[in-house]
Amino acid sequence: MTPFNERNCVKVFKLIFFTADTITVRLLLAGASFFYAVLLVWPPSAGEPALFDRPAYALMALVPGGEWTWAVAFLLHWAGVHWRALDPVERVPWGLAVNILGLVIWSYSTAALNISLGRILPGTALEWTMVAASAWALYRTGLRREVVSD
Amino acid sequence: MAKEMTSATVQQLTNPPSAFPVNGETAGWLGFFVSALVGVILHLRRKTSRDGVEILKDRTEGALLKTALEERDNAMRMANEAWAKANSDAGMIGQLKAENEYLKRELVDAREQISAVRRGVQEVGKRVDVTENNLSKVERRVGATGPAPLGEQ
Repeated sequence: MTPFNERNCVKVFKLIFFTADTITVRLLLAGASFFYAVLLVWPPSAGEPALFDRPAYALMALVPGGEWTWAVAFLLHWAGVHWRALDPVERVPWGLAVNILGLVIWSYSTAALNISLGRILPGTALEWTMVAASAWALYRTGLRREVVSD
Repeated sequence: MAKEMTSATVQQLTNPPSAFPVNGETAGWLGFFVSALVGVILHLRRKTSRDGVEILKDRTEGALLKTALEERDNAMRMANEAWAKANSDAGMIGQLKAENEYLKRELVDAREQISAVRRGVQEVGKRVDVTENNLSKVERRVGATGPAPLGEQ
């Protein structure tokens, strides 16, 4: 029986990091991207300020095009992840492009939100986890250890 | 008034001023750090990918080397078997040659014996002839001096 020690724990985590399938995480990221896009362009209630007029989104609002640019970027990520998951042909450059887009939009939006608010808020822990997940998905792209094509 | 103060306090607490200036420069720096992050991850990924290719190459070369060594071992085994067979055949040929020589000698001996027997037969034949001559002479002598044959009496 394998002993439970530090060396074996590191081995197990390395095994997970380098061989576990990333498609579940990628699909979760894509789902989050979809909802992010929808909520970005969701019209505000009467009298309520627009989303990008709020201080929390001040840095994101600096990107030309505002909400719509971000919404298109998040939707492209959602569509790209699903395309790569459903396409039986391996297209590593496209897989890289989709996962780079995922990492860029998630890391920028999460960091921008926290910078605009002045500190790293505990409520954004899940978003930071998503950033780490998108980084992991990008790192693993094209290493040919996935159940579906990259 | 108190209600307004409370609302302002809440407003201040929920929207405190950021420690960082929220402007284009910050956005630029953020973009730079995000790009750097993407670059680092792509670099690490490329390194891992290259390592993977190297490992694959090593494994392939190892498999090819193993196959080549196995083929060499097989060839050597076949060569050894061929040599063993050749040695065995050579031994058998030697044995057959020796038997051939032995049989040749046997044949020569048998011929000599036959010749000797023939000579003996000829010798005996000569003696028989001599004996017959002698007998003829004796018969003639007896016929001249002795009684007449029974049929003639």
